[in-house]
Amino acid sequence: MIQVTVLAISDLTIQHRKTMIVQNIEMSVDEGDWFALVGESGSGKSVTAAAIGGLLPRELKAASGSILLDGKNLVNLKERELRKYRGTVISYIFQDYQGAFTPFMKIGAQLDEMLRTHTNHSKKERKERALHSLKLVELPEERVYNSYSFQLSGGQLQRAAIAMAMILEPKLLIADEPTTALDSMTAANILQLMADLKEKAGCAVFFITHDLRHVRKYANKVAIMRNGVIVESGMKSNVFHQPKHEYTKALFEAIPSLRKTSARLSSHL
Amino acid sequence: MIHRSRARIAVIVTLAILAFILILAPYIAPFDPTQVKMEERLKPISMEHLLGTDHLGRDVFSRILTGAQTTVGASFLILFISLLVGVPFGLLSGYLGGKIDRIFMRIVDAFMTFPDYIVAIILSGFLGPGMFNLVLAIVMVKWVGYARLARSVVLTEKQKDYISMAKINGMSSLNILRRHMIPHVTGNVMVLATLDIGKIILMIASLSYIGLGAQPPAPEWGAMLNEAKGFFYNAPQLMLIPGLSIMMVVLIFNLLGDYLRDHFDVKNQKG
Amino acid sequence: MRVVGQEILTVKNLSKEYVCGHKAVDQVSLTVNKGECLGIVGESGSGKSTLARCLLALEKIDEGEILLKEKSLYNANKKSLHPVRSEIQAVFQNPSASLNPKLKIIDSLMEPLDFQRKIQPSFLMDIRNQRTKMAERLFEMVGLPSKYLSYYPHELSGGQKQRVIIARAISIEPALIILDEPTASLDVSIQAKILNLLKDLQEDLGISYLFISHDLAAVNFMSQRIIVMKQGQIVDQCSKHDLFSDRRHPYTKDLLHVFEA
Repeated sequence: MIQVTVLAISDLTIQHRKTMIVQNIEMSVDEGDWFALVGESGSGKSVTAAAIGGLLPRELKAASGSILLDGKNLVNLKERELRKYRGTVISYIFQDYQGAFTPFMKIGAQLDEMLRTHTNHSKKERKERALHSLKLVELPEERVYNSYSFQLSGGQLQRAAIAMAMILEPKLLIADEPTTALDSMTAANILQLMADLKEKAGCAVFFITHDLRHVRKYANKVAIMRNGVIVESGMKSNVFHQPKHEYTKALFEAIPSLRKTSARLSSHL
Repeated sequence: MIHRSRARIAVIVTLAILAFILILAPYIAPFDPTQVKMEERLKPISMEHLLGTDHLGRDVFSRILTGAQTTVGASFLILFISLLVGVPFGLLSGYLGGKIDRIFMRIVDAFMTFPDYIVAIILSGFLGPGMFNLVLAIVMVKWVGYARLARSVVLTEKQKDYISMAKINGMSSLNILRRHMIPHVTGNVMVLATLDIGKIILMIASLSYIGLGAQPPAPEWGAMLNEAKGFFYNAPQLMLIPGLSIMMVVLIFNLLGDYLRDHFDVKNQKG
Repeated sequence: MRVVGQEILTVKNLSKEYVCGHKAVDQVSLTVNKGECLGIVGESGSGKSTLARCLLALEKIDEGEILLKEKSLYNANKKSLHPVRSEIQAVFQNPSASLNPKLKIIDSLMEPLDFQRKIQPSFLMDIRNQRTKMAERLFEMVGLPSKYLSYYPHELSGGQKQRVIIARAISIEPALIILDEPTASLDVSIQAKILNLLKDLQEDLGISYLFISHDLAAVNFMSQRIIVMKQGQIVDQCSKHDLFSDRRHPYTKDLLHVFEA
C-alpha cells in the first residue's frame, strides 16, 4: 500500500513580533497515521495546530516555511480559500468541548448548518447524515439531535463535537488536548472512539497533548516539542523504548507509574 | 509610555486647578456674585467684568466661580453619601446572601425600573425645591448603582478558592470583607464614581435648570443657564459660559475615570 | 497497627445532600492516621470534592460526624471551630484562584499566621514575631527564592503559585492538609516536582495528608492507603500493596485498566 502524505510541514517558523514561537519545525502525517505532538504549556504545540487551519491569532505570523495539506500550501492562503478547507479537509476538536456548540441552538440544527454550508444535500439527506454521524460516535442519535448543548454531559458533548468534526469526512482531524478536561475513564473512552473512527473513515489524526500517557496506546508517530522546537520525533515505538533526547527521557520519568513505585519522581526538567 | 504619563500630568494639573478654584472661589471672585446692579446689566466681556454681566448686572465670572462650589461641591457630597450608603450595603448583601440578599435585590430592582432622571425629578418634586432636597433625591437614585456594583464584585470573588482559604484560616467575615473584598471593590467603585460624577453634575445642573435645585439668587450653573435663556439672542455668552463650564468639568472627570481604570488594574502596574 | 490517639481525622457515616435531594456524599466513613497519606480516587461527580469541603467546614453536613483529633467539627459553633481551624489546611486545584490577585504574595502567604497569632509552629519558633523572616523561611522550605515575596500572583507561574499555597498550608504546622487535585492544572514536569515536594514536607514535618485526585497513578505514588469513590459512596478501599489484588472492586479494576493502558 502506498502511503499518501496528508500533511507535510517543513521549516515552519511562527513569530510574535520578533519572538520566535515556533522554530523551523518539520513533520509529516500520512493517511491512517495517528500523529501525536507532545509538549508542555508554552511549547508551541497549540500554535502549530492553529497554524495548520489558518486559525492563528492576528498578532502571530508564519514567517517562513510551508504547510502542505494534500499537496496545497496553506501558508498565506486567503481566509476565503482557507474556509473551504476547514470542516471538509481539516477539522478540529478542542479541550473546551463546551465551546464547540452554541447554547442557543440544538445540536441537530448545528450539524445541519454545517452540512448546508458545505454540501448540496436535501433536507432529508442532511438529517439522515447528521443522525448517522451521531450514531457513529455512539450517542443516542435522536435524543442528542434534539438536545441543546447544556443538556449533555462533558463526555457526550465531546462525542458530539467529534461527530461534528467528522461529519464531512475530513482527511485530517486535529485534536487539541481533547481529553484534558475530561475524567480519566471518559477520556479513555473518547480516545478509543477516535481510534475506531479513524479506522472507519481512513483519515489521519493530529493529536496534541501534554500527557505522554495519552499517546501510549493509539499513536504511531510522536514528536516531542519544547520551547518552539521539536526535540525528538519518530515512530512511537522508537521514541517510547529508546528515547534519545534528555528532555524526552525526563518527561517519561516524571510520570508516576502504577507498577514501579519509587520514593520520589524524577524531576530533572 | 510618554503618551500615558503626559495624559496623567494633564489630568492631575487640571484637577489641581479645579480643586484650587473650588476651595478659593469666594476669595478669587472679584465681585459679590449676588449683588444686583441694574445699570451694569448685560455688559459684554471686558477687563472689569472678565466674563461680562448678566441680566441683573451681576458679575458672571464671580457667579461661575461660586457656582462651581455649589454644582461641583454638591456632586461630591452626593457621591460621598452614595458611596457611604451603597458600598457597605452591597458588600453585606452579596457576602451574606440568602434572605437579606433577596430583599435587597427587590429594592434595587424597584429603583432600577425607572430612569434616573424620572425618579430624581419625582423625588425632588415630592420633597420640594432646594439644594438640600436635590442632594437627597439624587443620593436616593445613585446609591443603588454602587450597592449593585459592590454586590456583583463580592459575588464573583466569593466563589474563588482564596475566600475558602481565608475561611479555613479562621478569618472572620468582617476580616474577609476588609482584607479580600474591599480592595476588589475599591478599584471598580472608584472608576464608576469618577465616571458618575460627570453624570451627577449634569443631573444637578439639569434639575436646577428646571427649577428644582438651587433657588435664586444663589449662583448655580444649571440655574444660570435657565436665567440666561431669555437673553440668548442678545447675550449668548450668558448661556455659553456655564454650558462650557459644565462640559469641561464633566470631560475632566471622564478622563480621570479612564485613567483610574488603567491604574486600578494591578496587572498594568508592573510589566 | 491502629493505636487510639493516632487518628488525626475520623469520619463516621457522613452524608451531604444537595437541594435536589441527590446525595453528593453518601454514608462515607474513613480515618486518617498521624503522618499518613490517605488517597481518594474518583471521577468528577464522585463526591470527592464535596467531601473535602465538608471536612474543611466550608459546607454543612446533613448526617454523620467528623472528628479532628477527637474533637467534633460540627457540634462546634463558630468559636469552638477556631482551635480546630488551626489543625487543618488545604491546597486546591487552581493555584490562581487560591491567591487574591490584589494582594502581594507575602500577604497571602502569611494570612494564617497573621490571623491566628496564638499558633507557634516548631520550625518558626526561633524567629517568631519577625514576619519577613518567617516568610523567607517558609519560602526556603518549598524551594522558592525570597524575592517573590514582594511580587503579585500574576507575576508567578502556576507551579510557583502552587508552592506558595503549599507554604501557606504548612505555615501553621497543621495536623492535616487536604490536597484536592493539587497538580491537576500543572504541566507534567511541574506535577512531579510538586508531588516530590509534598512528600518531602510530609516526611520532615509529620503532617497527615488527604490526597484527592482523579489520577490513580498520582494517588498511588503519594498514598499508603487508597479509597475509591463513585457517586458519593466508597466502593473500594485498600492499602497500596493490594491495589492489583483480584479482590478489588470491578470499578477499581476499570480504573487500573485505564491507567495501565
